[in-house]
Order: sequence, then structure tokens, then C-alpha cells
Amino acid sequence: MRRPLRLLKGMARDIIASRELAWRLFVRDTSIQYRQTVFGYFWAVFPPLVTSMVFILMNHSNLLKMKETGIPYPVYVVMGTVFFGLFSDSLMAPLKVVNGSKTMLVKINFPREALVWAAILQTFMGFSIKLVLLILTMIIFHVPVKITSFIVPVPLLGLLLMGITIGVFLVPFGILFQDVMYGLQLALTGLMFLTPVVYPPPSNGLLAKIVAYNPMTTLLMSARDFMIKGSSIYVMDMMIVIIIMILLLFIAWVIIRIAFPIVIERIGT
Amino acid sequence: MDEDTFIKVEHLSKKFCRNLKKSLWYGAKDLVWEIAGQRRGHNILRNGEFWALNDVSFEVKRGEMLGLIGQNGAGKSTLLKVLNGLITPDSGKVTIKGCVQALIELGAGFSPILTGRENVYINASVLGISKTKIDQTLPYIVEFAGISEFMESPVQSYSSGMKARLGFAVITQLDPDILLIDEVLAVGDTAFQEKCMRRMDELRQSNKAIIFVTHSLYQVEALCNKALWLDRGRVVQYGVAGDVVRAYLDNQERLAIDQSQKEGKIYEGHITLATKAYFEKRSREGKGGALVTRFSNTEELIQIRKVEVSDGCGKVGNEFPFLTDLTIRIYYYALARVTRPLFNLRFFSKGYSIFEASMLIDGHGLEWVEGEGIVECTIPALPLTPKLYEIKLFVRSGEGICDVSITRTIAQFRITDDRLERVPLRGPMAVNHMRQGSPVYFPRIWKFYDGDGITLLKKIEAGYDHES
Repeated sequence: MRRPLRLLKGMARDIIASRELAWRLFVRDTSIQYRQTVFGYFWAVFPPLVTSMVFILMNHSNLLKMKETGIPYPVYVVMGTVFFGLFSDSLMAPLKVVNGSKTMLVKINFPREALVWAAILQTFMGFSIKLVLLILTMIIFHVPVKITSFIVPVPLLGLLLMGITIGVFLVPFGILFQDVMYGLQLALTGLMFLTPVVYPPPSNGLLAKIVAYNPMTTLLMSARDFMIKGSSIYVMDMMIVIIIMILLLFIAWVIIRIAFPIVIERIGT
Repeated sequence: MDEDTFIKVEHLSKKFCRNLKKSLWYGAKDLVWEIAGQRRGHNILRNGEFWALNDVSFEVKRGEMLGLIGQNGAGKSTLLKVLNGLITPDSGKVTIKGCVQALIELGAGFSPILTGRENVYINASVLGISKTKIDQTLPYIVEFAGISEFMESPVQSYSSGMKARLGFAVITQLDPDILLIDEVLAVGDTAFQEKCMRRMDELRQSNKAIIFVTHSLYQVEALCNKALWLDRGRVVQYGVAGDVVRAYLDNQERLAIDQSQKEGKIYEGHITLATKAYFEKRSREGKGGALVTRFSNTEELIQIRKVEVSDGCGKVGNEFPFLTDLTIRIYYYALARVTRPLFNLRFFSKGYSIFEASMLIDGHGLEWVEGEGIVECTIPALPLTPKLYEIKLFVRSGEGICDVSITRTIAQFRITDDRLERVPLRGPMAVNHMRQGSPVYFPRIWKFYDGDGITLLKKIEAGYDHES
């Protein structure tokens, strides 16, 4: 922090130097993750599938009656959970990758940016598999996609950015204290219900206010709207959220560069 | 800074905390302060903290090798971590010129469930070696590691020695200006350790700056120019490797004597009294012989009590003149009856085995040994040039297959340039070349012939005890 120019130079150098390593780490983590399993890559699909099934069943049996969503409810829920999954995966990924590389971190000085890149790649990978689930659901329920679908990657990128940014911010503290990991898992469950993932945005009540101020709503709803409606009232908000996230990610990046040497000495050998 | 100075460390200090919870809490606080761009109280110790490094200064030049010595917890590894940029110092200055590469642990971050090949690629890329380079050198790596048939098996099925071999094979591909090595040579079998030592010697000769942590004082003296002796974070002595090593040895001996005086102990070798009694009982019952084949590494049948190295006049020491009649006297204790024990003395210089006095070649002496005994080996006119040497001993049982005493270093000695004139020193660099060149001196005869190959023009004879 005391020598900002040198810091920036180092950052530029390391982000370039870390690409190949990031790919290796990604390949390593993916292989480890699925090599000792029977179902392999299906494990990426199971969580959103199960969550969706629960809500579809509850809605179907009138236990939880949702407002009209404009499209078949199963498609609405699957889309919501898949998109929200992108956020939650990218939120958890940085800490997971860092924890998985702890032994290397304390022994070898390699560009730490590689860990963040690897986290992004992993999230992408998981998301691509889940996307297959979404497309299948849409085909089954004959839901056509709108031409504006090509904009969908923008809000999706926003979701990824938001998850990664918060995730990176938490990495230094997450290395020191396991509490961060436990807390994150808990917070995600709560956050899912404060975001219109399984229900359409409510128009009144306390929840309506929370949902309206939740930046996740903007990103999630605009992605949905561009996919099936063809227009969205959230465009401006979405752009603002994305710009803020890019700035925050830069700050988070600076912070982890400063933080790593301090944190590493605390976790020892 | 001097053009050739690669590493310069000035008044470096670093503090650590003994308590985990406190340490984590201090870490979080430091983190917040550092992000705020401020540094507070880095010169004072907080509750529970201590100086892991305290006011350390030194420098390493191109082509130099610095040995770090000191007891466990002296701060050697911490120093390497600071130099490698893994952790930041609390005060002081570190200036580094060139690309640093640290070998703090071989195969750090190997994933047990991935194959050897996959791990090579990951390890290499963490160390900053590109994929294309690894693609090219993979056959060489596999060959160096010597585990080709295991490359496609998961690393979790490897022995620790195999993991170390693979890790070292990868790092031989590195080409840094500055190399930091932390006790990586402590793993693996003897042959592998020798291989590593040779590689280190090559690296030193290729004009790199090397910092080397080890507990083998022989390695420090044989490989390093300079040594730094650390004790509880402070520099005790810094200077020419030989001097520092001697001072350190003196100190260790003093400590050991103090300790044994305090405890009132008499030296009993490595055997516990219970094991000794057990083996004595067995040998009384005539079952001793059977133990030879049931030998395990933890119970060496022949214990080495004491070793004396002396010159032709019987003077015990560790410095001898050139062409001395070297005598190695080994006081052993056989726990049980060992038939036809075969003693092997292997001489090393800079990690290379150069010569062997072996009963595997010369034949056994006694039909059996039991209890205390002494074996002595004299090498008349030892033809070793002035250098530092190390002797390793292992003892095999009668059939020559089974070790009854594992390989260990039993003595280190130095040949001085005293009485070097027992051989002709006619050349322009005779003395210096004897000191720095190859370790063994053999008598020889040189002849110059005319172009026809018959007419002898000149003959030079060089042998022991020439008439001067």
C-alpha cells in the first residue's frame, strides 16, 4: 500500500504470468473433484435439480402457491436456481481453491492470481453443465427463447463478478478462520430466499423492499427477462451493479496481494 | 549494491507467535492495518510473540553458496521464507537481484489421487516452468526420477522416497539466478542423496547464488563458501564455511558435555537396556544366530559405540598430512552373535563416493562376533589430496546380503597440504591444483615420443617419496 506504483506493476506482470498455472490448477481440481466419484459430472446438476424439484412439488400440490410467472413454473424455478447457482458457486470458489492449495501456498511463491483464475474457470465449468439442465427443461416445456437472449451473458457475467468479488474479499479472513466458510454456506441459504429465485418479485410487504434493494434481484431478473420476455426494466440498474462490481473486484485484488504474505505466516507449514 | 551481489539482507527481523488463536487474531489485525496503508508496532513484541529472526545481516554474491546452520527452531526456514517472498519481514531490508526459486519441500502440493505425470505438470507450472518445456523434458525427468513404470499410477501409491525423487527431478529443470534449498537432501536413499549433492555442486559452478539449509555440517563445508550460524533468530557467527562449522561443532560438543554432566549419564550407545537384556538372554540360549535374518532397521545388530581416526603414529584427530597411514578404529557392540560380519568403509568427497575399503571384496575376518569388540582398518599412504572427506560405514552379515548396521557417516577428516612434497610438485600450479582438483593421487609416468612413435624424447615420473 505504501508503494502503489510498484504494486500495480507487479499486478500486471502476475496476471499474465498466471494464466497457464491457472489452467493447470483448474484441470487438477476438476480431476480431483470427479475422479473418485461414480456419477462424475452429474454432481454439478444434482443440487439445482433437487432444489427445483422440491419447489415444483410444493407448488404443484398447492402448499406454496406462486404468483403467475408468465412461463411454466418448473422452467422459472430451474432457471432461477441455475442462475443463482452461478453466483453461489463463484462466491465459494475462491476460498475452496485457496484451501485446496494451502500446502503449495506456504511452500512455493507462485502468482496468487492463478488461484482466482482457476476459481473462475471452475465456476464456468460447473455452470456449463447446469446450463444443459436448463436447456433440457425449456425444450420439455416448449418455452421459446427471445432474440434478446444474446444479451443474457452480460447479467450472467455480473452474477459471476459479484460472487468472485465477494469471495476474493473473504479469502484472507477465510484462510485465517474457518468460520468464514461455515458462515458463507449459511448466508447463501438465506440469500437464496431474499432473491427472486423460486418466486417472482413480490409487490408489497417487507420482502418486496428487501428484494428491491438486493442487487442480486437486478442481475437475476434481467437475465431471466432477456431470455424469455425480450426486454427488462432492470437494464440501467444492471449496468450500475456491474460497474461497481468491476471496481470492487480491483480493490479486492489489491487487498489479497497485500494480505497473502501476512496470512501465510499465520497458517505456517 | 555491488554488481555481483545477488542477495543482500540488512538488519532483518521477524516475529512469530506461539499461540494459534492469538496468532490468527494478530494476523487479522496486521491485515487491517496493512490494507489501511499503515504499520504499527512492528518493532515491539506483543503478548506471546518472540523474535524468529533478530537483526540478521549477510550477503550472497554470484557463484557463492551460503550454508545456514543451527539447531531446530533457530530461524533457518523462516529466513528462507522471507527471502522467497512468502512472508514479509517486520523490519530490516532484503534486496534481491534476479529470479529466485525456492526448494522448501520436494513435491509440495502433489495431489495424492492424480498420477505422477499429471502431478509433474502441475508442480512444474506452479514453479513457473512452461508446459512446452515440460513436454520436451518429460523423458529426462522420468529417467532422473527412475520411476517410469509408476508414472501413470496415482501418487498416493508412491513411497515417500519415490515422491521425493519425482519432486527433485522436476526442480532439476529450473534455471533460476538464486536458489534457496531447505533440507531437501534429507530424504531419499543414499544413492539419491549423492545424486542431489552432485547436482548442487553443478549448480554452484554455474554462477548462481545458492542458500542452503542443512544439518549436515559436512555438506556445508564441502559445498559452501560461507556459512551463517543462527541461534534462536540471532546470528552467532557469519564467515568462511570451515571456520563457522568448526565453531559450531565446538559449541555443540560443549553443550553435549554440559548436558551429560548435568544428567550424570554414562554413554550407552543407542541400545535401551531392555533390548540389550533380551538379546543377551537369547544369545545365552544359543538362539542368537537366527536373529541375523530377522533383522529390522530399528534394531541394528551391530551398534557403533565409538570411532577413532588416527595417523601412522597413532595420534587421533581429524586433520592428517598427505600420504598418511590412516587408521580407522571402530568400537562396536554386537547385540547377538553375528556370523562373519563384513565391514565396509566408503570414502566420500563432495558427495561422490571415491574409494572403498570393503570386506565384501577382501573377505571376512572372524567367524562370528558377539558383545564388545574393535575392528581396525589401516590404509597405508592414503593417496587422497588435501580436501575434506567423509567416511560412511555399513556392516553386512556373512552372506553379504543383509545389513546388520545401516549406512551412516562415522567420521569426517581433512587432509592438509602438510608433507605434500612427498610427491614431485614441479608444475606451475602444483599446490593449488592438488587442493582444488580431483581427490585421488596415483603415481604416473609421462612420456614424449618423436613423430615416429619410437624415439623417446622425455620421460617424467611422478610417484610417492621421489628423491628431491
